[in-house]
Amino acid sequence: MMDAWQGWLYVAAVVIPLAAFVVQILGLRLFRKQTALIATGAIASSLILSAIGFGSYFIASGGMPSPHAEGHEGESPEASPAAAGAFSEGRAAPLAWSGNWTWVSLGRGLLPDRQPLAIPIGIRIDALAVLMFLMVTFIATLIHVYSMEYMEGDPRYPRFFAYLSLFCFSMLGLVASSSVFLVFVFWELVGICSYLLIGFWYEDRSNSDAANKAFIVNRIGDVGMLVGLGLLWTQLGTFDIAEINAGLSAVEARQGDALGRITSEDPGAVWNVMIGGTERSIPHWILVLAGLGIFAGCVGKSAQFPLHVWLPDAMAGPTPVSALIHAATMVAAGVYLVGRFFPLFSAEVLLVIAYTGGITLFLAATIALVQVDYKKVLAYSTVSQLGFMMLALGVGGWAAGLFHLLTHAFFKALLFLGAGSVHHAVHTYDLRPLGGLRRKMPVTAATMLIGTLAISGVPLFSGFYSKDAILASAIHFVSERPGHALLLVLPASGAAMTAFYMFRMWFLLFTGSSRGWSAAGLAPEHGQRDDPAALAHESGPRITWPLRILAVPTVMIGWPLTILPLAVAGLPFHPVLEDWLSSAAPLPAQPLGSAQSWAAATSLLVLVVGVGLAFLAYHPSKTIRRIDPARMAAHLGGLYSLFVNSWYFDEVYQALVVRPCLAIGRRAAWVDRVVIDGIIDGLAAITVALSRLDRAIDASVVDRLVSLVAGMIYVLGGVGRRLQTGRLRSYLMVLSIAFVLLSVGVLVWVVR
Amino acid sequence: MATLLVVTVLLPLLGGLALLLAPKLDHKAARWVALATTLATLAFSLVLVGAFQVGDASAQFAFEGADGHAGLPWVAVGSGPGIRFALGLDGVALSLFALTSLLLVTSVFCSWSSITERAPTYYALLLFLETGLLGLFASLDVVLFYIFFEFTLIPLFFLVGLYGGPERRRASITFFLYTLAGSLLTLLGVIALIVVHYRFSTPQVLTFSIPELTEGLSRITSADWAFTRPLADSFSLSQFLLQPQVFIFLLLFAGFAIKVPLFPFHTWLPLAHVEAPTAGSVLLAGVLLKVGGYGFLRFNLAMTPMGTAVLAPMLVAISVIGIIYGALTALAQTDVKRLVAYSSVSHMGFIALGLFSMTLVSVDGAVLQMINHGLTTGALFACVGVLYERYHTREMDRMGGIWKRLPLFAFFLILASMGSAAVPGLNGFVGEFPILAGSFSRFPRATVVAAIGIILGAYYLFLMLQKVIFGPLREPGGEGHGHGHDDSAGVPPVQWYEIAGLAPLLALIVIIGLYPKPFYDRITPSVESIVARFPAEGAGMSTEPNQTVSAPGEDSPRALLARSAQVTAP
Repeated sequence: MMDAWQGWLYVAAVVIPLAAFVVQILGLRLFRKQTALIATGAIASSLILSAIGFGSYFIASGGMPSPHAEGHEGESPEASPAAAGAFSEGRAAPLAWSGNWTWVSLGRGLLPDRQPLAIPIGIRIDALAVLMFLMVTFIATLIHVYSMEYMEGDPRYPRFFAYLSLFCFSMLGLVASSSVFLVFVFWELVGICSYLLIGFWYEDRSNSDAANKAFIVNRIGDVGMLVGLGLLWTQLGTFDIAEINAGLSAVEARQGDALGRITSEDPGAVWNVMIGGTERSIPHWILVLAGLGIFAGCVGKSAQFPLHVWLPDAMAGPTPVSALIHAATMVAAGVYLVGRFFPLFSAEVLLVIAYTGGITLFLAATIALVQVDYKKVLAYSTVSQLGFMMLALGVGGWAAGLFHLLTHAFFKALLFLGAGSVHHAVHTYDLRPLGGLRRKMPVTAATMLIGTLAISGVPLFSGFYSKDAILASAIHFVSERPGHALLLVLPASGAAMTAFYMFRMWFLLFTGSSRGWSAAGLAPEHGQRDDPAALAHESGPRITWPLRILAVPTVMIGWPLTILPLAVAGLPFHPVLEDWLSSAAPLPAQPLGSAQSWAAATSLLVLVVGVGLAFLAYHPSKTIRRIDPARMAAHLGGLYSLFVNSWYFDEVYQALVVRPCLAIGRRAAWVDRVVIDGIIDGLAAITVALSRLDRAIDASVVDRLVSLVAGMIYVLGGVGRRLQTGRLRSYLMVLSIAFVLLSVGVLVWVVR
Repeated sequence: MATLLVVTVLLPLLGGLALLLAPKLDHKAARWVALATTLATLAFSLVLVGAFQVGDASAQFAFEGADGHAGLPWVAVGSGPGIRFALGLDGVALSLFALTSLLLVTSVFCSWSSITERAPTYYALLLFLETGLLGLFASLDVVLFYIFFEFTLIPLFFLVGLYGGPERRRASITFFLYTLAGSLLTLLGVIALIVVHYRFSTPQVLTFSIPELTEGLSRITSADWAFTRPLADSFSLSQFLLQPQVFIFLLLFAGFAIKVPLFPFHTWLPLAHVEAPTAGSVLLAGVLLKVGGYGFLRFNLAMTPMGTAVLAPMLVAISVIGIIYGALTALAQTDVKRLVAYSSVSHMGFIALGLFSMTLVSVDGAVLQMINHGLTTGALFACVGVLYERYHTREMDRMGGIWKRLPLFAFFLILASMGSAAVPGLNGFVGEFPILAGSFSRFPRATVVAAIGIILGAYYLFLMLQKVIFGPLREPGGEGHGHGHDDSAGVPPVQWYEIAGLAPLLALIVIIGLYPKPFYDRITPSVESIVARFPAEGAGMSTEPNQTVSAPGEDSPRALLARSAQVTAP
């Protein structure tokens, strides 16, 4: 049952888009254009409810929490594990509203003390969920408005908004879910929405290919997640995230580790976990497996290496969809779940998470460097930024990772919507023929520049603060575990590449003058005129206003309370949002110490390198431009083609997984038809052959015998015929003889 | 209510006889008669569903005979209660009973326009089949069960053989002989059960009643019967196989495994499905396959639990092979109907996995999954029928973009496929999840392999959707002329009867997916009563000794079985 009225507020915020979806899909013919208004109205009301919820949470939790990490600053390293151990008693549990209802319960009555499988549906709204709600509904509302103009004239305009409503419901449900089972349910539902929207223009074969790829690659991760769910249920008997978190936070193994992680030399060590008042135990290796399983799901959804291949293809969907689903919200769900379920992951799993994130961010950044399709640049940049978040979580920067999730959502949504605005004007995604759009599309150019500055990590823009926090966590981790220096090298070089490719894209799109198809050595797409930008003009207000509005949080949400860019040592440097987040962390944050200043220095350094290179290579002014990109590419040689071909992941998967799978399928079908059915047919044929043999025997032996008997009877009949004399006297004689014999017989029988 | 149950079972038989005896009905009159009969049957069975006491595990709506036994005496055998005409429904049977009566309505709608020749006979056969199936699920007597079990073959044989596709003769004969051969072995097994019960029970009673046999057999304490040794502890294979519970299990298994069908026994299924008329496929996949699962539950699991337990690892292996194998084979098909047929092999493998994992949760899931599979596969076959009626081909490579032509059909097909691919929020998921969760606690490795079947399941179904629904419009037969422009002549939109046949199935697909509680509430008590008889782990049997050990101090079979196994370090 619900424990606070705010819970109902959030239930309403989740359900309203669902209701809107049902109304739209049933009245698809009836409403036509009005579906857009229904969908937008629904998500706007969810936004209002989320805002009320946010305000209420702010008041109920006693205003702004004190900077948590600073509080631990003075404590000695020996004291901090004790603090970790005392989590459940010492630290006041963060405020959360929750409610649970039974959905399915199997095996009631058989065992009164232990329910074999009870699946509740429930919501749990904590500080993180409050922020996520606000972010999702805010961005979604703007994207709805944007889509009204962007999708205008599409024959399936109403259907598009119906899908968007379904997506909003699923995404909000995912954020609100209290149990990992329910997360899985919504996880698949957002996957379905993504499938439907990627394949929205299904007439094009490549679009439905991309949709299938997205769904199936996600399913691969989901199987891992199912295994994780199975392990958790078998061992701990519950799916409730908060219960499992509380139990695992207090595990004594955390106390022996400087970073507060669950570590064990012995994989067979068994942890005792208190789950909802009963003690359960879980061996360490199962905990690791369960963590890896859940993480596998997150790898799929958040497009991490090696399952990142679906996200770039997913750009086949309409651009508002890419902005909402494949940049801001759904793809971040994997990061969100890792954050939500953080205490589950033991030291080994966290290391895997960190390295997965590191490899992903590096790979994707290298690919983004050389893309000629500006939507693909953004797609790979999304993969790369998600890698940053995963890395942050893996190295223990819980607040840093989720902080970056929130800042990234805003600036990446802004960038995608900007890209959509450009496409709306020039009808191509190819960078090469474009250029000089700044004068024709001033609002788009300006807002995209803000987004570019934010994602590159320029101070004063939100991305700087979150990336800085990630680097600080990484530095802190590497200083504790020097063997893992790669976890610092990868994000640092990735950040430099991010700054480079983003500025490259911005320069190529908006500065200089339009190059035209022929100058770029290309044939125009879809019979366009040579200069795609010739007729370009700024988009209408329903596109530009969302861009303007999104630019505000893109700049501001990372700001510290003291609005101090001149972060001098000693002054509170923490962004408000990060502090808010870390106060809600499921595990107490680690004091970062001097890592902060190092991080600030590092991020400025890589920024200068990245932006500097971009200026040298792509700035319109000849005096600044010193490097020819083509020569740079030639210097890279084999690496360049590796990057252009996305490290050949698609080709490798095609050769190693897809084709063998289909071949085995064909082989199995052949086996089925020829071998297995052959055996059955063979048995049948043997039976038939046996019966033929039987018939032969029948004809040659049995039938002969029968004929023989028949013949004999015939002969006897002939004999008998001779007895048929026709003379009454002979008959009477025979009759009387028979009678006498019979009487004698009867007499003998009776007398005896 | 007991009378209503008998009436419900016999009503289709009467309807069928009326169709046969009525002079010269054309197909229009015949289909209305058939529809009225199936609708009335459905209405009655819904009344039974409404009257069903939730929470009661025993068979309900049974006649109480004068001598204290259920049902009316039919054939007196010896001094015991004899063979009786005993009908009744427990939670499991009730669900399948209702599913049957619903799918029959769908089948009549599926045949609405496609059957014009010899229609009265056709509908009469459908109705006879319905009586056979309803009677089978409602039987409380072994002999009655067997009679209905075999009776279903006859109408189906003629339905496939007379009204099927080009290879209908081969299909019907293969199907008939194959299933008949299996069910004769099952008959032997059933007789053996009766004899064992008669021989060992105290006091000696010769009973044919299913509940009494189940109860009586579980009470037998004779070591010969009750103690069953796993293969690993046996001296030889023959010693293992000749143990009474194992031997009888295998006899019973033969018939049901072919019905389900489990992996190596499945080859009759694609042939029969492809050749059968649409209604035949709907019923074959929807209900006939469930007879095998129902038989496993009623006889194998309930009456020879020890045998099941020692054979479980092998059975689980077969099920998992079937899951993967069926899915891979489905992936290679180009004929939609064949694809759906092979998907049945894969999905029935999940159901068998749930049953043979022998945990309450997995068996519960398997029973619900039987209903779910009936609904989704029934709907898929009906969709294929819709397609075939318009284009007279089922080759996926020859069509595409049908969404444009038949948007409502596309919606139906997508929903049914997603239900089948176990997308959460739809019914397949709420059945598959408990199956996997339950079997995971018992056979973790096998379950992980089975989970790969989920990926493949999504793969072939979405590939099918992509080819049929998405892409540019390509219609078989219309390729030669008018490339690209809309030419809707000749392809009628989805008709009212097609909607009427599919809509209830799709509604249930969504309802079960969103709120499965009422369904599970009816199934669970009956499943519990069967699971409670399962042997304790470690007592005369063990499964995967390295993976699962029983906790000390808990030795009651009920406690041990429902408890999820503790997984310990190797």
